[in-house]
Amino acid sequence: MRRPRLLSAALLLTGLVIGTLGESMPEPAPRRAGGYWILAAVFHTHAFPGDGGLPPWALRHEAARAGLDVFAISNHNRVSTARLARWMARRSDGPIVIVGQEVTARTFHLIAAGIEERVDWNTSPAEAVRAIHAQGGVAIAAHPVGRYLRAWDETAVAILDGYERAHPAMEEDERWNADLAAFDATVRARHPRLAPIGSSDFHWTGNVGRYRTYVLARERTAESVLDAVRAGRTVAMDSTGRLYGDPALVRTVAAATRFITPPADRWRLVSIGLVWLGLLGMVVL
Amino acid sequence: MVAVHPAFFALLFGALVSITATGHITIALLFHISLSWSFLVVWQAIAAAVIILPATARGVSRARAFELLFLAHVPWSLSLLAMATIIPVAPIVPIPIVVLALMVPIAWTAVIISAFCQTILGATRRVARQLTLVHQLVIWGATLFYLWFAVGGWVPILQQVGL
Repeated sequence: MRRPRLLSAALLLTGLVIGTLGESMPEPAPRRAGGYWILAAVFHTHAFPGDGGLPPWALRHEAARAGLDVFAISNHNRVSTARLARWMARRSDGPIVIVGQEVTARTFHLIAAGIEERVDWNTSPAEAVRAIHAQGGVAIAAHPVGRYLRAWDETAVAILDGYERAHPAMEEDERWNADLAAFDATVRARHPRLAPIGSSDFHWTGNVGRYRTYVLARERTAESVLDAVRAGRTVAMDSTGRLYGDPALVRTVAAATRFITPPADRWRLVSIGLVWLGLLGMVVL
Repeated sequence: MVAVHPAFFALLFGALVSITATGHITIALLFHISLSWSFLVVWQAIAAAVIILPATARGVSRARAFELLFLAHVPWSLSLLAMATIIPVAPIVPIPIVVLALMVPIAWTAVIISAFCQTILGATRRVARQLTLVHQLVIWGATLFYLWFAVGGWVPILQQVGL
């Protein structure tokens, strides 16, 4: 029994070494257009401790690997993990960390980005938006589909800063895809300044930057990013690379790009396969 | 040796979270994720202590009993390995199927714990069942508590089950 277990451990170790040596990190490539920085952002992610699998520092590493310049940690009804992440990031290079919360109520979910204290979830969408604004944050309607759609009345929409136009829900259910498109058409017709947002809503699977927002910010700071959202200078991107938003901004972003998918890690599947086999061997042998 | 199985479970959990959450694995990721989630092992140790420490008819030392009980990670370890294989191909699995799939490791673990209580702790079949129930209540109570913390209260949990 000893030899098979040693072999399994060797497979595991080999997979780890291959994965480590083969890891690729995109070179930071600052992009400018029309006096703005074009920054890749995700305002809706979850981290450990909370409803996410990765601790904040590992999530930041993954955000950098996905080519993001900015990300917010927005755990359900909590800000402690996000604050920890910002504190840990304060003296190291890497994506800007914004403190956020997914205000999680029965009939709506709302991203609060740029806040300091927890926002009460047990209220109406409009009151929650006002509470976010009172802290200097921006309010983004999270996945306005299905049962999370109906609460967004005109009063609440009129004071929103943005709404998720691109979200993994698009792939999960065709009706949700239609809901996102309908919400987009309705709110932009009435409030053209509302910022379209692309969010990966990263928890345990996928890629933190697969859905993202391109923000046209005056400076590369969290405040400037939030200002850009307030001014509606954003373009949402879905997992296929399709861009959503004001046509002029979409053209600007598309012209400036070389964006999107980070280079695939060399030997990634080999590494995962060896680790998986090694673990299986160590469990069953 | 008593720490080998708990450490392995932490490593396995870290590796599988790394694979499903990031699509790759490195030594640093494995270390950070395993360390973050290592409190799961502490919970398991507490649940183990609840049934091992009061047992007076134990046939082995306490340390050996802990070591043997940690071998009961096999059903969950295999389930996690299966999940790490399925999730990249089919990330969205309907909740009823997930619940059904979880029944296998839950039942299998219960059988192992019950056998452990009878053969190692010297409990009768009836007491073994009670100890298994206590052990699983500690584990699942802690899991529910973390879930409550993680999703910010009961509202999202109740929504997921359609309430």
